[in-house]
Amino acid sequence: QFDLHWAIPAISPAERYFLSQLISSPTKEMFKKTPTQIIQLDVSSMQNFDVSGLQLALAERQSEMPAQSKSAMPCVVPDRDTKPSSFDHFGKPGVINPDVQRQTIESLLTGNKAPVENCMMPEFIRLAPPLHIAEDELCWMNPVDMDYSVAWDTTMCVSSSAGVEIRRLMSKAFKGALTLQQQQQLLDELEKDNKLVYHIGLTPAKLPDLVENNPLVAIEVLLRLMQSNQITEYFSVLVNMEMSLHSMEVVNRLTTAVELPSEFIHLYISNCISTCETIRDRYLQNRLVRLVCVFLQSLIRNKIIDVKDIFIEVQAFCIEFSRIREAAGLFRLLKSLDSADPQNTPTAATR
Amino acid sequence: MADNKAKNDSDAEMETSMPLPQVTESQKELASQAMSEFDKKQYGSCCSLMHKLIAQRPTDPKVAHNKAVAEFFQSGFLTTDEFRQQLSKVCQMAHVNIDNSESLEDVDHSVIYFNQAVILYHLRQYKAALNILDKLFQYIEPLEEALAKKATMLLVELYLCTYQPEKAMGMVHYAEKTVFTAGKNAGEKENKEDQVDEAWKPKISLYKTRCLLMMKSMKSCKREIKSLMSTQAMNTAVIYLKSNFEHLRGNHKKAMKMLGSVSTSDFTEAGECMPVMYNNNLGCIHFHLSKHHLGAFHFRKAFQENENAIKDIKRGAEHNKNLSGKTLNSIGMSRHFELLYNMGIQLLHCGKAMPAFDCLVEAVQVFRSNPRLWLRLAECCIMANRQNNDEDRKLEKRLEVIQGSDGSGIHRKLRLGPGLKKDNPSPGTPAIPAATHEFAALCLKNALHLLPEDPLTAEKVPIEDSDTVKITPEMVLVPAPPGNPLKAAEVASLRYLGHLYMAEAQVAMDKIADAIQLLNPELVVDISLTLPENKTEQDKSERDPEASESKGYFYPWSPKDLTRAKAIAQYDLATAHAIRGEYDKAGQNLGESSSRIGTPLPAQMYFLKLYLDLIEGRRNMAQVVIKDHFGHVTPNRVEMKMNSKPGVPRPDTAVS
Repeated sequence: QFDLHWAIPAISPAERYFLSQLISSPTKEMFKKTPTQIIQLDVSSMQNFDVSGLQLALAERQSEMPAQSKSAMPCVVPDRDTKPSSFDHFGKPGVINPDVQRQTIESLLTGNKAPVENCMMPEFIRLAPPLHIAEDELCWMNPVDMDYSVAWDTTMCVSSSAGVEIRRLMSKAFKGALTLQQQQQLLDELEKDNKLVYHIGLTPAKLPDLVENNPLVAIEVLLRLMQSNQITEYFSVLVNMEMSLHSMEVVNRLTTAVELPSEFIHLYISNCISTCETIRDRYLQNRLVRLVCVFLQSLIRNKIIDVKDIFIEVQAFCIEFSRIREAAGLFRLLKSLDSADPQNTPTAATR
Repeated sequence: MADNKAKNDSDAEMETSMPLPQVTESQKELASQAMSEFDKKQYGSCCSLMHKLIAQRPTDPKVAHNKAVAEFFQSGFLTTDEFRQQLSKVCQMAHVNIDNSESLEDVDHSVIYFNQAVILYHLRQYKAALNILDKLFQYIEPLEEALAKKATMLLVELYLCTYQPEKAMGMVHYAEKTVFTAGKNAGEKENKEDQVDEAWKPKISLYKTRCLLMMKSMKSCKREIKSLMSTQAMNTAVIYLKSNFEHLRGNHKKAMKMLGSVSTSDFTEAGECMPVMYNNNLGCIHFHLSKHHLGAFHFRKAFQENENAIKDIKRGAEHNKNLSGKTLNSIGMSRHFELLYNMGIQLLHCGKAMPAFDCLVEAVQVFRSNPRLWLRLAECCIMANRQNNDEDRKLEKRLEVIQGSDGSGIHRKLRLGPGLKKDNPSPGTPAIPAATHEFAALCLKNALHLLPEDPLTAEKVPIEDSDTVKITPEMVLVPAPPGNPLKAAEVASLRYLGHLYMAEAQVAMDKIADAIQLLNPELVVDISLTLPENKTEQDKSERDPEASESKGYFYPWSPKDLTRAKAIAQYDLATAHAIRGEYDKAGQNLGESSSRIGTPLPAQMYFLKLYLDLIEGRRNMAQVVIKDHFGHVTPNRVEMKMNSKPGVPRPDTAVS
């Protein structure tokens, strides 16, 4: 038993000869023979087919394949009856029953999923992972004890004539300079009703226009908005708008009236300086530089900013524009403060 | 050029703000009367007053607005579509773009935006509503007091609806300090301040409680609930919150009791359906008691109540013959998808994979960005293909080892089974939802993408088989919020599984040596799924003794003990050896493993045993196994005499 290959039953020499002919060079005569004739052929004189070439090719091909694909075995296993199982078989062990034979062949070889095509190989046990454990995964529902209903507009028909007039004035103020009288009227009304400032049609986008045309009004309005949630938006607009006499005036006034966030001031100063540096028109540049210097001197003298924070930047600015009188003056001011300061750090002094 | 520009500007101004006619005294009077009727809830007379007013001021957007509001109230909030149309007309009149919250510039228009937000809230479009209110909040100071209060409360509600409890809490605190104190006007007397506060205190307390619950701040929550119960013990909302609180603490019996103490009148004032919520919450409680079938029953009931309520509303709408037909409150009332979500997870834990899949695949259409939901969907797919890890031990699986015999006499042949793995590539693309492994892989990819960036949250590394086509991709990942105490409980079992999957992949990729190293049973040290001591701020003495002990262990998983887990690893090791042709080692490992894995043995072991016997030519040994365990397929016994030759005849005759 151990001599034979486990999967393939032994074949007779005639069968072997037939197979080797099929593989190598089948002759026409062979195909004319019946299976019985082939089996009964005497092949003792025939040459034995050399399978080594075939074996080599097979081995080479299989060497490329992963072990898993070479590990399967056929699913059909011979299981001859060891004892007679019916009267027919008594005394006739090993008798071929053609009907049974044919039926067996048919059921094994034919059909959609012929058993002969199956193979079996070692299989892993593939476990499913445990269900994820989650805390508080499901939706709990609580009744909502609130009624969210649509609201009535309480400002209907209540705007006073003053309000309409003020809005009209404001829309003028965005486009051009108001007369002194008009400005005063605006400021008076704003003073009377501290909520009016929210209803005059001012938005951060419109602020630059107001600053350019009516800086005093802009100052007043911004002061009144200091406590609101919007003020940061207005600040950022102010910081980023084009530098001008008016915008500097507004910022300057704001710094003296209220405490502005220091980042805002620093940012503004940086913007001013870089505007000066990039402007091409010599005449305009000189003018702006002068303005900036005056502005900075005012900030420093009024102790609105700490010199140390901007020292390096401003010093560089002064040196760059040292041809301008005001810049030189600012430079001297910086130096005097710097040397007067007993807590002078070496980094500030060296450049 | 400059002239042209000026002209264009003034033209534009003409377009955008034609001045409204001055308000006359009589119009003021009308307006004030109308408002008074509105406040007295006399919507009929309010409407007629507004009709008069709009005749006099046809271009005034505020008049048009309030007329629309009055009519909406008058209709009992049934005419939502009409109201929305009228609101958009008002927007046109006022040159307001309601869809772009950035365009809110004039505080006078706030009320229009607010009302839009209210509608969106009821339509459950929370993000859109929040968009508007966040912008509106910038103008909170000049808002009229009543409107400011409504706006802040709706903002809190929206933050809660979008699960942002910290923001909600921040808003509540802000509101307490500003909007709800009367200290704005100088010179207010002390009494008046307190009065204003008192009316709103309970509502503020409710909001606080909801925030604290969502943030799981149990200690603060306890305090808040205590004060609520002392003043509003009969309020349904309060009782439900308390029940929720007890539920979170693990006191499930108490939570159930609380829920049961409220008489469930069908609908709340806000239009919510109480039986839906009641049954839903019971379902949640039973989930945590590991009573999943009972929980599923309650979810089913909640679902049914929800369906009934929707039908009623629809019927009522047809009866009223209105455009929209449903009251504003009831438009968003259906909890259909939340119930599906809950139900799906519960069914999954009942072991009913396909019904769970059907629920969750519908729920995920709405809750698309919930990574855990995608994970659950994948779990449904996996469970649909493998009910549990013990199913290999079932008789029906074992019977697949030998599928039958053909012929008789000398022609008899046995038919071995090809194995347990189903080798069917699914037809069609994996994108169409079906309970397949391919779809599961897709779900897991989605879950991965949706996880926050933080690497701490990803617990496992996904392991993919490289042989993509036929071998199922086993990407296993568990997303968990950082600091989740349950994380630790799952890691052990996940690491064990990771080794097994990795080894299988390595064998497929022909890296069998690596696989063999990985499958060393000694490496299996821990597969526990139980929690370490609960480290939350729970007061242990207050915990319900009935609460399930192993809080993490909702659905039973095997292998349950270390021995079996090792045995499985050892079996896989035997498989790896067998594939490499090392049949001795394979047989040895198989033998040891089968003695430790517990009975009945998984079918794979029979497969492997037969495989090893047959491939090494031990036909008689194979026959022993066959006759012992699959006796029905063969009449051939093996005589176990020590000296006799193998009993199977030598097949020296021709082919079958």
